[in-house]
Amino acid sequence: MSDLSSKIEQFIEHYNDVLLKSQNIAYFVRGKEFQEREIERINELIDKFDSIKNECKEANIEEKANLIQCLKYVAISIKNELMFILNLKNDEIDLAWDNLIVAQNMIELSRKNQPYNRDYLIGYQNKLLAYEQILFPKITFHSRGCIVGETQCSICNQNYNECSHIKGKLYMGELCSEIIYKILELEEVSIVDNPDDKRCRTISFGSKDEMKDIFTLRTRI
Amino acid sequence: MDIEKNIDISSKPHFHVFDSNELYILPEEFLNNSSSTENIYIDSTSTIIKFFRINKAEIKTFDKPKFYRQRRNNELFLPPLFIGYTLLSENSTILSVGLNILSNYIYDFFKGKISEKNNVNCEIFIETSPKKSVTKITFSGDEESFQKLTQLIKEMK
Repeated sequence: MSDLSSKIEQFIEHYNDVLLKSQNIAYFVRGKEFQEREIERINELIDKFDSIKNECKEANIEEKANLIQCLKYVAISIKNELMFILNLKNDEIDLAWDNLIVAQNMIELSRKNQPYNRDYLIGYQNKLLAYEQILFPKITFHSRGCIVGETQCSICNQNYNECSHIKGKLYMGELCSEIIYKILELEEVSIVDNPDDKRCRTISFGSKDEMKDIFTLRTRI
Repeated sequence: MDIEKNIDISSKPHFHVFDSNELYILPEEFLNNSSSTENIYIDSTSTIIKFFRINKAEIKTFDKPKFYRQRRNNELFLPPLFIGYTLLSENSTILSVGLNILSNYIYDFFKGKISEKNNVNCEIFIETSPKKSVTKITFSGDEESFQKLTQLIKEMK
């Protein structure tokens, strides 16, 4: 157990070291080449998470397994922030938006499931929200309303209504999701301000003769 | 928040099946729905029942849910609730526990989110005269306002 504890400690030290440097590169004005290299470094870090998480699982230490997964979410978030910046520079605005939303979602997941101090991420979470508010116009989003029948828990594969797992929570480092196998009826698609997934958004406006991109105002073919 | 008092349920047999000492989750559109064949529950129903189970408390459903309505919206839609007359007037401690568990669920739902608007929507039917009348509260507001609502309900006995 103490071997694993010291392994986790060393890993977290390495994690902090990598991400501290990454955050210093996650400014718009940094050179693209540095940002691209930083994404590669974070990818190498991300590859290491699962093996240490699995060791925690084998030792049945749920809190540590969950912590490792939460740290992975933060790493993925920062990677997506870097990709967001690069895509903005490359004028790939749709991709940039998706990267930003993934970054936001990962931090939200991490904060929701952090077994220890989750408030240290609030500043970073606010930064990601500020990108959205400052760099993009206000847009509308789309939300589906539908009727579903029986659903399945991703942790235990039982009927979600019968098991004890709660979607959105981590169990031994694995995220519980509610798997829908059948949508019985699609009732509506609503236009909303506050969607569950901001990637479901209006992408263009105009008439059939000319549709303009909601972000760039360029004509969308 | 809208409060509709003295809704007559004497001619609504689907309101007469409740144990007035219990807290229930209702299917949507329950007030005017007389058929039980196609009852549709809000999808937060399953998770709320789990929260109660984890806290060793009980919340019942009108019938066994088969269909769930999902809205992929970041607002929280609670299922309609029924608070029985006896529960409110004679077992306020148990009611308090139930409302606290609901508050915990709401807190957990919004945990980790930064949103300009963490909105909760719900309808609560409070039995004011057994099998004769209910008060209906329609609520839409933030977490803090929901706490005030639960306080208001506790004081209604």
